[in-house]
Amino acid sequence: MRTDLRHRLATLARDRRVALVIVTGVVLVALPFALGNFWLRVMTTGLMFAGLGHGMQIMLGLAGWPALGNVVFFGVGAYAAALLNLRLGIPPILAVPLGGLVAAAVALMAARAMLSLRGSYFLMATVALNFAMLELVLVSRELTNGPQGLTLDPVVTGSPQYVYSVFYFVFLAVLAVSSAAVVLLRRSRLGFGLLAIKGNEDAAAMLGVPMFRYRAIAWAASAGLTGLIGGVYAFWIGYIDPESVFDLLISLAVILMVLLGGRLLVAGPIIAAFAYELVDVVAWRELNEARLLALGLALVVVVRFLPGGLPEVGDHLARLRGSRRPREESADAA
Amino acid sequence: MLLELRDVKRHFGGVRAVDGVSGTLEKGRILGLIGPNGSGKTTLLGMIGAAIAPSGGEIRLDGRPMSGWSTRAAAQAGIARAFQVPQHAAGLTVLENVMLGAMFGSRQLPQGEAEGEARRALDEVGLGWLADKDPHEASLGERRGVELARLLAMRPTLALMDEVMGGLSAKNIALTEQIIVRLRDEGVTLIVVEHVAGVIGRIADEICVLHQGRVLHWGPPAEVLADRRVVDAYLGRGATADG
Repeated sequence: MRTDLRHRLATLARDRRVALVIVTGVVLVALPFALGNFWLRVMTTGLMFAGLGHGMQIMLGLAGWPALGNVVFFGVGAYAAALLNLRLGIPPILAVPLGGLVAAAVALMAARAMLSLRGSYFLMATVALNFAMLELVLVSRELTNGPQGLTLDPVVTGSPQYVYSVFYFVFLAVLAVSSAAVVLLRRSRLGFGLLAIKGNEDAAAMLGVPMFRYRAIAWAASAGLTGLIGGVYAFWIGYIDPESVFDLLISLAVILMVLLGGRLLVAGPIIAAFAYELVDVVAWRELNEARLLALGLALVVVVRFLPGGLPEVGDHLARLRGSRRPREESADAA
Repeated sequence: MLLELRDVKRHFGGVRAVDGVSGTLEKGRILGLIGPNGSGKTTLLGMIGAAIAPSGGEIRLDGRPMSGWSTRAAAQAGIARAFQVPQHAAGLTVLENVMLGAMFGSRQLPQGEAEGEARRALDEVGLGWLADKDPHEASLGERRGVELARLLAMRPTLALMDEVMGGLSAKNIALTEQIIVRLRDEGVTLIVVEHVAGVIGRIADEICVLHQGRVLHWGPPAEVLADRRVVDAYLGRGATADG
């Protein structure tokens, strides 16, 4: 009887979740037809950061590795896609996924050296890798045009509203792919293994989880997704330079989003990315030079006071409601 | 012969944690490993589980030398370990933690089958109701039970159990004893480290007493527990094989 009730409640919860996904999907598809250029751009940036959040989620949320310098793959993907297009004439629709593959290949090449490092050492190594790639792009002037950056031909022509809408839908498609990737990964043997490693490395080793192989796959998947998004970004903006696509601030913002998303592996980074974009539009752009300080402070506040992210706020509120109810009842009884 | 130890040593700097242990263990036997604190029990277990590399000597499993093995290789060869302090992965439910035992190591079951196996193992240790909980919400006794369930899900050839009964209720100790004996009857070889000499006296087919990293006596329980040196070094006067 009780099992039957639990089963029905679980089915209902699943149905509600499916309904929520469908409603969110419909709203996101309909949005470009209701928004002006400015808000369309804000939403597109939100979608981009949500996808980057999923890339970071694979490393931080599933594997438990603080890949602070993961923006390196954003830069690698952006440059690879741009160079393939400019130097070899490969069309953007192929250059972008190839950019993702190049980023994944760079991650695999660096894996042997970097994945033997733990915790903060790995974190520092990823930052160093980012600076190394930044420097490589800067000095390879003949290929990359150095600090002057690369200008790409427009991929889509038409009214600004049309161009913005196209990239909105491209980023929406990428987000759908990244969401599915995180869900499938979490439910796969690989996801189980990664969570086992994250939860208790020694126990995972004793159970026979292939630690290096799983971490390498996770890192390559994270890098590939981040690189793919870097490639789309390059063609969206039409201009990239080393300082903007290897900017550690991007990684910091993405880590903040993943932390804010808390235990919500897929929805967490999406909600946090849009919240971040809204705050950015409303307040942070006014901060100018103080943005780094504000971002750093926000990270400290989340890590120190809100380690479970936004879902923890919901939990607190639910507990408050729960603890208030009996008192109200007893007051009524009195 | 499943396990063979040949003059196995582990030195940490000047400390001889294990200092030349030799012995053999046949398939389907329970070896009780006892000794005072610091006698080298956990270090020896760590070496058999390939978590610690020996400083000298050799360990053979089913005739194969284990030198250079990783813990993963040991798990794939069917060695499972239950820890003194239960080791669970945060972020996975109790059921998922137990499933890991069937999904990795020597079994490599697909998830669906691993889930069925994990549920059966949890039911066997009386913790089926805990399946969807976070292991860190469970009591120490329950977490020990989850650890035991994961070991069952691994279907090991050689099970290393490091003080898994410490802090358990009499009822749970009896249940754990039953499970250990059942595993032995199914052909699993077990090395059980316990402080509770009475339990070891009841279930072990043979006992190894370690003292200062050396074997004080390795033999049948009645003979070992009656050994005056064992009584003096570990059990204390007035102790009997019944504990």
